[in-house]
Amino acid sequence: MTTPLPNPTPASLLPRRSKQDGALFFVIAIIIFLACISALITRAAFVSAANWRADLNGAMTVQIKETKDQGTKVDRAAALLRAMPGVSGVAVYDRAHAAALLEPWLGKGNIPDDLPLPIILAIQLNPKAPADKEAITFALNASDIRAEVDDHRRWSAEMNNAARFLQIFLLTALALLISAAIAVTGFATRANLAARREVVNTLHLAGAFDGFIAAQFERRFGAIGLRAGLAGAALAGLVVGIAQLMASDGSGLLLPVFRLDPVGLGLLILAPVLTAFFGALTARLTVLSNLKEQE
Amino acid sequence: MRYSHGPDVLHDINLNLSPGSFHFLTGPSGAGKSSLLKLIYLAQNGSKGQVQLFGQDVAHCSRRDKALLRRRIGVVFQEFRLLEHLSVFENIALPLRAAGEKRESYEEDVVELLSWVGLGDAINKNPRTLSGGEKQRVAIARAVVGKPELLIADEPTGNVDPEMGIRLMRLFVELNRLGSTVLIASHDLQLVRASGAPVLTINDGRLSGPKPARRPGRS
Repeated sequence: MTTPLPNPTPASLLPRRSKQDGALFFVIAIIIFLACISALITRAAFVSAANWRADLNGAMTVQIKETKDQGTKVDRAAALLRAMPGVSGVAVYDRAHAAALLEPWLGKGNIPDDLPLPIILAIQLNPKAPADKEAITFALNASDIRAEVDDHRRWSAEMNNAARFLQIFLLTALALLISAAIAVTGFATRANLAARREVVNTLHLAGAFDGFIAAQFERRFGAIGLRAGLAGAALAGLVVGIAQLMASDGSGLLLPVFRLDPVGLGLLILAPVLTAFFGALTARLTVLSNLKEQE
Repeated sequence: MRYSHGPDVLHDINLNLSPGSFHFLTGPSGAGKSSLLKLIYLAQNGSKGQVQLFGQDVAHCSRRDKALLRRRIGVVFQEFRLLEHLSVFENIALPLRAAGEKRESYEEDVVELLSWVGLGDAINKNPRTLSGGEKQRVAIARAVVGKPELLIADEPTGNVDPEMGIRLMRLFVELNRLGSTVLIASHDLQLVRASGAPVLTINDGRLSGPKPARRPGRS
């Protein structure tokens, strides 16, 4: 009598689990968690830097230096600027506005009339064809209005430098984390290969191609990468979600600027896929190189 | 041939196995029987000289070509080399699976072969649960399942009872009749003599013979 045949699905040619698999899952999940957080902060840094740049580059500030007949000159300057090509809007921050800003510190009615307060005109530039600083200065001087025009270039340059530094730092951290994940997978594959030497030798002597043997490890490490990537990305999503929730009630000033918008979600979905891909690729290349070394 | 940086373990070997021939290889332990077999089934490279298999110079073969050559060789290892996480069925089917064959194409052959070696009821068993003799029969079934052109067996009857030993020898003879070249390393002089096949003898890595003998199975 012959026993019924086993399950038609062929068993994995590698033993199902090894001691290293659990540790590898844990390490990769942590690395992917950190990589996801880094990627989201990097993206937030890029978006914030772009917004800051747009805000600074899209506006200029004019400080009226006149002390005599100030109100008339401010009105004239505002009218002149509103009529200029390349200017899309002008907001006047007059003495009353400046006094209101000082009130919390000096108290209501405690601002002396002779205290010199700056009168500011905030100019919104047309983003398509913005007016330049020289043209605005020339127009004000021609109208006999003493004023100082600030195009925020100094702030913009500092902001650009800070943003660039942050971006380079975060991208380096991200690259290092990805390299660490690849290196860990490579080490784990080598360890797994050493532990499975008997299986590899038997397959080798049975006439299996190197690619066939590598595919066994590729599938194994791709699956571990996918599971670890999912766990790491899910944890990162949870942390970002909590941070976003805490920031939404106004208490998030000190929290990092996380964004779980469609792009952020896309990054979290992409992370496990990339981890599986790189895990499989690293395992394949490691096994192929190891088999060649054995020859 | 030498292992790593050790001394030569085989010297001045000049051996030609004609297609369809049947030989025994004997010699004391440590004489170089297993080393010679490893050289033939491409588990080791020779340090000098030439190994030709099926008309191809092994030294000039790519890794892929060597894999294709290995598929034409069935090997019964002395230490069985069964994969303990796979069932008996999967162990036997391993060479066919490694060669990319679909399960439907070999399922019946594996079942039939299992019955033939007396392990029809062990199909789903794990090799760990088998006795030494049963493991050896699984190893033999795995070596012959692909109907190899060259069958190499290292002490294939060492762990089985005499009756099963004779049964397994009949299997080798049958394969030989079907065209396989057979080379069996054995200590079992009684079995060697009874077979009537030519005998190669190895001593201190030096080969002598073959001593002419009758074709097996014709006694």
